[in-house]
Amino acid sequence: MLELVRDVLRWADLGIFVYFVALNSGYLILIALAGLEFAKHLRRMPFAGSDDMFRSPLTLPVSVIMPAYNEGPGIVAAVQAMTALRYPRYEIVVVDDGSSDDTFEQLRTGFELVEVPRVVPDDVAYRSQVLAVYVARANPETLTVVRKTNGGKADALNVGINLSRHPLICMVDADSVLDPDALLSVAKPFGDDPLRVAACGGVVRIANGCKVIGGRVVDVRMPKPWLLRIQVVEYLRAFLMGRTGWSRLGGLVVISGAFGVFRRDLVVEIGGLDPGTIGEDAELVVRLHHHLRQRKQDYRVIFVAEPVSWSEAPSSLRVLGRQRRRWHRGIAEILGKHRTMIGNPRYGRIGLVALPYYVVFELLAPFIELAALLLLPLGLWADAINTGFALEFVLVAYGYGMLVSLSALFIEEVSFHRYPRWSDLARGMAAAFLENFGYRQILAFAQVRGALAAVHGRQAVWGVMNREGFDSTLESAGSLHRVP
Amino acid sequence: MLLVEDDPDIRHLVSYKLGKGGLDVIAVADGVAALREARAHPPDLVLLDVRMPRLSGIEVCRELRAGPLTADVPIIMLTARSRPQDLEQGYAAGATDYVVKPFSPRDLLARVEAALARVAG
Amino acid sequence: MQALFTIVLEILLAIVAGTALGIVLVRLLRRSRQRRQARLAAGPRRSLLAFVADNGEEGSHDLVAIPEDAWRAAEPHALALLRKLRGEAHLGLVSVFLRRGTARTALGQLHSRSPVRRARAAQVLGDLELRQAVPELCRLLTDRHDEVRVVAVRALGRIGDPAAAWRIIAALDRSDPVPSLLATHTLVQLGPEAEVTLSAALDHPQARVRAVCLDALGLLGATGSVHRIARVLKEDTHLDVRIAAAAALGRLGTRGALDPLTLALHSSRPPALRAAAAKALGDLGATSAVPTLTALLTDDAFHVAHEAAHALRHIGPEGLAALQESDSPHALEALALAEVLTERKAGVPA
Repeated sequence: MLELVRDVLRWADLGIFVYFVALNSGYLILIALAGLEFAKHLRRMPFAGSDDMFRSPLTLPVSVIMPAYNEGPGIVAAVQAMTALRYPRYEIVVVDDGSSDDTFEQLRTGFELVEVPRVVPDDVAYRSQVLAVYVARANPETLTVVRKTNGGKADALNVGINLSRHPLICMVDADSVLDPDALLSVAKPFGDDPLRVAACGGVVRIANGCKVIGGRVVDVRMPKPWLLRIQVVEYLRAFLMGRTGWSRLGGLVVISGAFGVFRRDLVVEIGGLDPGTIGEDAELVVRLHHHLRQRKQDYRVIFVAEPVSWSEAPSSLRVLGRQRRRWHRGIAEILGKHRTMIGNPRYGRIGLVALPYYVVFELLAPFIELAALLLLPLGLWADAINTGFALEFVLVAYGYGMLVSLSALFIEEVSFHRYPRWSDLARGMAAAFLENFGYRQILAFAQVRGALAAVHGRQAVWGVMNREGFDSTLESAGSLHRVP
Repeated sequence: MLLVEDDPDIRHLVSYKLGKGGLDVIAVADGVAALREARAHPPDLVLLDVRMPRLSGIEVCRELRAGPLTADVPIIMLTARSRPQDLEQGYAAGATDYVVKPFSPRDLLARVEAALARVAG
Repeated sequence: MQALFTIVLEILLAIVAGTALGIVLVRLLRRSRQRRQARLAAGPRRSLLAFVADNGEEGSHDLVAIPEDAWRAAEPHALALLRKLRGEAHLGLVSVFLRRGTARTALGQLHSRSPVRRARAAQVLGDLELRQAVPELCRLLTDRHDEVRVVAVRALGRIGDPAAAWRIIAALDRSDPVPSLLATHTLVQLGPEAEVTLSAALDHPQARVRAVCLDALGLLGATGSVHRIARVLKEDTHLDVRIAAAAALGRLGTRGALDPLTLALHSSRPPALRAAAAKALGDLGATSAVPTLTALLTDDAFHVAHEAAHALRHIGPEGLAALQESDSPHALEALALAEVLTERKAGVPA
């Protein structure tokens, strides 16, 4: 009996080891692909023609939809920054999703809003009630603010889609800080390949620690707390490299809700965002794939690695855990909802490669991570494996993980090098090391809880994040000039 | 005079050119700095780029027109777009004249001198 | 097993250390290269600015005499400057490029095997606005790589030789066409002389070609083609093409556009076309269209009523008067917007 238990433990530990190696190898492949993509992108910069796009009167106009729920402290600065983007023609639609704070009052005084009657089309269904529509007195055609009863982020976006008048829609979070050329770059693929490009996502980096002046990141720095530094490295690896790699493979299934552009007609065609799921942004992309593959249409979903949207990341472990719980629950729900696509050759690379990968290496990863924490000591205790093996197991599994993160830093240094200070570089490398001790395990725990919550299926709500707004958060980081 | 332009090439080029033409040029890179400067030392003329970070040229123009010290200063806008509605928007905000990018340095100097002459005469 | 693990571990450690070292090395190398380039480019950049500011009258010899490595460091900057200038300063800078042999090199590189080199060369030739490069650039319109085709189209637009019009139109009629908006923009850049070619292409069998030509004609203000465009609006088999025709007529702003557009508003037409026609009447600004548009304010189709209301707003006082008498929600929306806009124009203090 004991022998059997030992055997099972030995094989389980070996299995976990193989899993870790496969997981990290997968990442390494994606990072290598991202490296190739960046090289290609950078060589083409001189003739990319962004300036021509900026000048052409025909560049497709964009509606920027910014849902806001209790964003009072930062909303005016965020909208002001949004009005200063380099793009020939765009409008901003702010959707106040029944905030209980002074979000609307801030906007009203900040932009001299005037109430106007507006007929709201129902191109996509929404379940809340539009209370009133306002425009800015100075720019009535470029800034619209909608007040509605609370209905969740997806619902707020749906109302925004109805009110947007341009052929492209860009979804941004109210706490996003965009680089001045961000919109131009993310809308560019639609101009270059208008018949095929259906959606385009932009990269999200962490704003904490950076110096922000007038709603623009002017000095990129590593944040002080290690919890945030680790997240910076994690974002580089997972968002910048991972998504670029998937984009190159033609299997991009996640576009961050913090910064993505879609063709309005297609979003309307598939009925807008699903208020019933948590990861409504990712769900939209998967549904878009689902729909377009079913129609056998030739289409592309693209990821643009630069310029950047900067987001505030949670700085306390509690909020971070909550965020990851929500993300993971989103992944679980989306994969459950679209399970017919998984492994289905009808959906091409999405069905055969991307989604199975997500099941095995995203959805299951935290479970395996925790299993390793449990089974390895158990194996040692039951004498199924010896100390040497266990030690080297840990070193190889985590060492490989560290190598993956370092490779991400390497590619970042070669291509974009956004962190100019030597000290920040050293901190990044240290974070790649520290990530393996505690951070991964605690998050895995949160993720497991998220996945389980998806099974129980509770009501989807706004992720609560104690935002202080960029102004106050960044005072510590340096001087901040408010736009008068 | 005050030059407001975020593109460093054009900023250097224009201040060099106008400086050689005997004008005293103060160059700033964005709208906020422009307003601060204009309120502190009201210039004889403002040369203003329309597309800028932080505050667009149109907004700066409107602000300048609203301020008592700068309400009558001639404002020449530099713009990359020449559609009638773009120009109209600028004139509505109070611009005196327009120079469309890409521009000719000689033409620019001529317009600046013409605007200054109008004020003097 | 144990031994294998140890070896793997050692290799892994070596790679990790190597990567970390690599990051540092990459940064050191890049910094020193940047410093060198900046040092090299500093002199030429100063001469360039002085040269351009003096309208390219003096100092061209100095620029031509700049050694190759320093010039290469400053070249991206010089090309960027080229795009921001016109007039004598532009011509002067172009002549410097020509005397340095940049154009010759670029023409040669159009035949390069690397698509990146071909595209880069096409871009340079466009920046130089070199007319003799037009035939070569037209050849690139059928390049295997779409990015090269796109750069070629853009370069042709910058050069603005109307002779290229039909080649660009032909590039639209492929299985992998150049982007429509880019083609339209370029055709407009070719100027009024391209009108004949564009007008003739309205009979092209490919719908995309017709739509692009209509857009371009509208933007060019090709009033001579009103009747042909009106015929397309009436008879074309593709809805998108007819919508493009309606928009083009609106932009032309001539009296001859009024009747065909009014006809397109008839309730038997598809709603998308009627909405486009209503919008075009607003662009036209014709007061005689007011009664027709007013009747549409209560139309069942959302977009038709919406566009009609905003078209009335565009028309001005007569249109606004009509809006005031209507109680359609679309009319209220348009009126409110008009009010805010006039307030802003009048400069009502905040």
